[in-house]
Amino acid sequence: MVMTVANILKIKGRVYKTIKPNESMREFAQHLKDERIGAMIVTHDGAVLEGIISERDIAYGLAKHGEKLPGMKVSELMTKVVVVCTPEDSIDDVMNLMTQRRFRHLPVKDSDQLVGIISMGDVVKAHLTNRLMAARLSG
Amino acid sequence: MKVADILKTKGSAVKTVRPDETALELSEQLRAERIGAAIVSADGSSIDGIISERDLAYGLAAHASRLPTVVVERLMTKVVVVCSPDDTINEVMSVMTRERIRHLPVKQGNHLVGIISIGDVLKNRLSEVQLEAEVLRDYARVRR
Repeated sequence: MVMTVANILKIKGRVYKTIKPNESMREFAQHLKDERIGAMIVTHDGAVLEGIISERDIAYGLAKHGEKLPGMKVSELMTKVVVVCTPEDSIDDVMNLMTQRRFRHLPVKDSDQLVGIISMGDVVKAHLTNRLMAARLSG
Repeated sequence: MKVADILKTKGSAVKTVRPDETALELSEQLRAERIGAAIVSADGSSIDGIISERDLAYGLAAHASRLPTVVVERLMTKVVVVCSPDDTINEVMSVMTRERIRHLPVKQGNHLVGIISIGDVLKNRLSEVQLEAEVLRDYARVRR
């Protein structure tokens, strides 16, 4: 059985955290800390995907902007052109995309609707579960 | 597949910073080298801690505009989970998943011999998966 993005979403839930483009980087950092996550979807209305912003944008943003960083807007540091995946994509497709393009998070879109986000951590976890199951079946 | 196999391709270079370097200095090095974490070491070989993008993110929440001058020592993770070159990739995946960490320093005896990231693990799994697929394809061709 080929494991898909849909399988991962079934385990982790079709939940994703969003932030508005005009929120500050300080607010963004606080959300990451409170929710124990590494990235958020940037959207005005909670539906239309405008970008994605991650811990990496904070780390690299600090180098570039120094003490101005906390007051800057999320829209100034987010990644605008967002590569997405679909629930039908296989884990291997997603592994490929993340490795080639160096992404740690991918939004999941079903038709035109945002339905979730998956991280490298989710993919590794799914891959591990799959392998352990396969080992149990064959052993 | 073992940690040693990943190190063979990626090399044993480890980025280290001193505990008294500032968050700003650290961020500049992470950005310049396009990496996500560094080992914190006063003498360049023993491990005092590990510091990652996540620590900078949480540091921004806590220190705001003072963050650039906060020293690495105050932001780093002190209890460092490590792995050994003989550990399997499966073991490393389990540890990363369970502990929710993305970087594992590799120690052989008392020596720091590398660092493995979740990205390295994924890359390794992918090449393995692709290799398996090729083998199956060849097998199918031979049987035809």
